[in-house]
Amino acid sequence: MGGLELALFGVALAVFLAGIGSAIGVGLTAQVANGVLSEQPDLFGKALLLTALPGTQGIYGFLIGFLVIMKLGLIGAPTDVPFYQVITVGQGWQMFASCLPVAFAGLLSAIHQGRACAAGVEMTAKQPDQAGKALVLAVFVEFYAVLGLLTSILLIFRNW
Amino acid sequence: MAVSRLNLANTGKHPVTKGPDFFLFKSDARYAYAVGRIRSLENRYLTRQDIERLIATEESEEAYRFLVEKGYAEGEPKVKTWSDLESCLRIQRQEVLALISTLSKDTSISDLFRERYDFHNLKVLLKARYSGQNLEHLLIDVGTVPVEILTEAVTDDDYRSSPQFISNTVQVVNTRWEKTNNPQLIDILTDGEMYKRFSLVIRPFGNRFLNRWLDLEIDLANIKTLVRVKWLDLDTALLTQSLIEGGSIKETELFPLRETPWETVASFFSKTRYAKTVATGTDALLKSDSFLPLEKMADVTLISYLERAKVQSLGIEPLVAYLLLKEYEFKAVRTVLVGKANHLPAELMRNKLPEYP
Amino acid sequence: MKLQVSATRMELLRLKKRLDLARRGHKLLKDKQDELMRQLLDLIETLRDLRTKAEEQLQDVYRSFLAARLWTDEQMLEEALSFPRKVVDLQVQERRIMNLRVPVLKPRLEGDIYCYGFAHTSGELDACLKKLDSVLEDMVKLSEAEKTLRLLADEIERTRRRVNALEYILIPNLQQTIKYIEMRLEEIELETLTRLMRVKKIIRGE
Repeated sequence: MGGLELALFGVALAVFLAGIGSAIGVGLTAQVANGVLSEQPDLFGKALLLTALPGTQGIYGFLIGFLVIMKLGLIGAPTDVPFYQVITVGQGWQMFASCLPVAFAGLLSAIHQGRACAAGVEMTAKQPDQAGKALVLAVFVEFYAVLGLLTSILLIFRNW
Repeated sequence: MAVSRLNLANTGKHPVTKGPDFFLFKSDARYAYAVGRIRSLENRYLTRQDIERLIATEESEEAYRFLVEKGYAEGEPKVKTWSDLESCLRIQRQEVLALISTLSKDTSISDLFRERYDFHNLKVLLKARYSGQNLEHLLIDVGTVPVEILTEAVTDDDYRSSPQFISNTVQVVNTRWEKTNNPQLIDILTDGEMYKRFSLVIRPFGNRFLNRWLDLEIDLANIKTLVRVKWLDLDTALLTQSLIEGGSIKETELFPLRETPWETVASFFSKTRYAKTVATGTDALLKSDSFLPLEKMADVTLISYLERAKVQSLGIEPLVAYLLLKEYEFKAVRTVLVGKANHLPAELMRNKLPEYP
Repeated sequence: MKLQVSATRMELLRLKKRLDLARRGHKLLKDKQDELMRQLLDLIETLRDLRTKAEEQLQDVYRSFLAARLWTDEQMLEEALSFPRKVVDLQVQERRIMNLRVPVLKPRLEGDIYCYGFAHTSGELDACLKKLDSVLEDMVKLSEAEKTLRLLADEIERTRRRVNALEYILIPNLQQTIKYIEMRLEEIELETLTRLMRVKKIIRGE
């Protein structure tokens, strides 16, 4: 396997693992929100925020994937020697490893954030004016997804 | 895919798979929508103030409007008297059961709470058959078997169209009836079969919340039975038949208490979680001949247990808890309605109010 | 009022006998009435006790029943009570007060009053039935006493009517008639005497 394949495999992992996490998280929260909205339609605005929150991990994953593709020179301004033509197997592994933090942090944090948000929506159903607090608590989970994202970015932009 | 397997980890009739559920920590994501809906509905439990307002109403019309405002079923179009309002409660119960049935992903569990009424209907029909009366007006049509089919089955003595538990129960009751001709046994045996059915469905389902609820339910039923038999000085044989198997306290441990003095009963339970229930209950019974405190304490135990489901964010627990807590609310509302119909003074009604969520 | 009878000596004798009989009857009836009256007053005393006791007990029963009813679904409660085991059999015998026949109720109570399971009923129902069970026999006694009282009252009424009829109608009538017949007889006697004297004079005058 060449360096390019390894790097692209990393891209795929970052996008789909984080994406799966977000899909599960949002799906879960959305179901709870639907249940609540069927009885209290006026809570839509608050439920919307909480439902969208687990979706961010997917975006982070996509961002990293995009950055790696840029770095490889597959898109963007053409240069004399695109990186993807000269990438070694070692560099490929490095790229692959750089994608892992956001992939796994995204997957797990999104699922658990989904649970936190689902509980937040339930809480909002009981006390609509406390939605802000539920949001803040759910954001704590986001923090670890952001750490994964940062690590991945730092690794990618290091000059190999 | 790992995740979809995990989503199914806590389903259905099978025992829960062992091992840590890393992604979801054993909560049941299939119930997301249902729990969301239940959470909204939980807002509409009647509060103390609501019950007080209901007590303060003068006219049945006014009470009816108040209940409808609180989300109770519209009931029959011409509601006039207090007893009509009670039928309103019946419709409401039907709606709650139907709601839980549609929301539930584990039909065996949600059906269980409707089967309760199958057992009630069966009792009515068997009594009607043995005594030759027409008791049609006592049937409650919210069970899993429509009353017409059940009536037909009992009249023809052909239970092929009914579920297994119906024919089992009929068989058990029939054998005993032929020997004893004792109508009390119809109730006792059917109740026993009902709890057997609960154990049969809930135990293998493997949900901790439901398991412990069933423990509480059976234990408290047994405690009440024991105290009643003891107080009325009834036959020990009756106690043997009435105690229900499968609770956390073995019935064999309860039998000897039939003969012991009351203090021993209280001290027997003093190390269990029923210590307060039994102590307060028997105390009141001996002092004032009233069972209400015992029953009230038993309800308090169950209600406070069920209310724990309010912090459970996913799973079947909130549904079951909602269904059961709603029953306690109906009990409180019924107390007020019946009290009103009998012109009870407000103060007395407040004393008699059962515990509610 | 005078009776429609011919004024003969025979009739007079008959009437005198009747009057005698009526007087004796009157006295007897009067005694009977007094005795019945005494029995009635006694009975009223016991009845009042029985009644207050039964009423108090029944009120207690209803109070417990209401408590049971408050907490239990209407249909479930009725189901529990729909097939009773207690058999109440009444044997009716008779007893005589004077010539009055009054019933004596002998209840035969069989079986247990508790006819339902414990899982779906309230303990208040037990308390209610326990009280009801104890009040049953008193209620039978009460109904026996009430029936006796009514029969006694009827009998007294009837006796009093007879006494009054004798006292105010038959006896005065008889007395009047006797007096009339006596006067009439006297008149006839006087007439006969006068006629005799007249005849004597005529014979002597010849």
